[in-house]
Amino acid sequence: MKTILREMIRNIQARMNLLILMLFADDGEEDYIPYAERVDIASLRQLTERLHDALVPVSPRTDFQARLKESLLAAASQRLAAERESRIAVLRRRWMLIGAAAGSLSMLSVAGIVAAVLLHQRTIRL
Amino acid sequence: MRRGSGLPNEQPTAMDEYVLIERARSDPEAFGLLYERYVGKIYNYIYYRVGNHYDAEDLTARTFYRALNHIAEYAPRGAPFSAWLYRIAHNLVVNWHRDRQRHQLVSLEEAMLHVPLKQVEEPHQLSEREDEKERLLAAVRQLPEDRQQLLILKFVEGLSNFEIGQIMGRSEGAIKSLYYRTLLSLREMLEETSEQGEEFSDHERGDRP
Repeated sequence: MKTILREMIRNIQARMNLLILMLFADDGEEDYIPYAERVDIASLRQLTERLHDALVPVSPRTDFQARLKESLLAAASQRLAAERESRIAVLRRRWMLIGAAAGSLSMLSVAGIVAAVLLHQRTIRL
Repeated sequence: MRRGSGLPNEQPTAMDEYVLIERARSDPEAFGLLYERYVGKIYNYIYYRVGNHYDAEDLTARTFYRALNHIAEYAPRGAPFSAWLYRIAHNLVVNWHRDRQRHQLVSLEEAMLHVPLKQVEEPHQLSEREDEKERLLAAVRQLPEDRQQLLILKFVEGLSNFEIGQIMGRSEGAIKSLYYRTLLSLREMLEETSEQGEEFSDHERGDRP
């Protein structure tokens, strides 16, 4: 059963390969092909010719292309500006945090000094 | 065969493109250059997936806005930049189709494509060739998404199987095989619609005294 199936698949593949090759063959290379397959190929070739005639490149309207380009460039510039802005905001926030930390540290140290001086004076008085 | 809609003679090297993408992350002008390079391709892809210029413009704009917002996260991973853009466009088109199905809206243009010719216009108003082309495009739009993508990249952009494979994330062999299967199913669909068309004509003739 397996052998029969394998043989069938091989035949189908061979037929497919033959047809694919013949679709791209030059004229006059079909003499060795059985009649039924020649008819098959002729109709497929005719279909490819029809497709070639029907599927032709179309051009988008020039004003549409220009407008779209303009709005894409504007959007791209806006996006870049927004990215730059957010990067600057992040940096600014970071510096503010560093400043606040440094400020509170110096406040703490001033308070520490004042406390130390007061403590020292009280110790002397006693 | 390359019929692509990008700028002529502009085949960027991988290095050139890489440099431009790196610059585009922080330079709007560089993003503008990428936009100019790919807007035609993306527009074409979307146009053939949705079938009208109005939605194609809307989805093209959304594709590039999404690309702009996510370009910082873009990583090449061996595929060209266009593959990334096509993937964004593809996702937007899929959502667009899903929304439309949910709202049961059918654009006039597409509705006309699904109606037999005789109900839309008289034969002298629309040539037989045009009608055939419309039927073919309507059939293409009914194919699964990956097959539509393959046909658009092959016929509109004129890309090779290898390039299509890079964009779709498949091997060259898988693309060839998918292409073959797509042609077979498309042919079958067209045969079915032409049979239906004949039945419709017979019915019309039968109704007339």
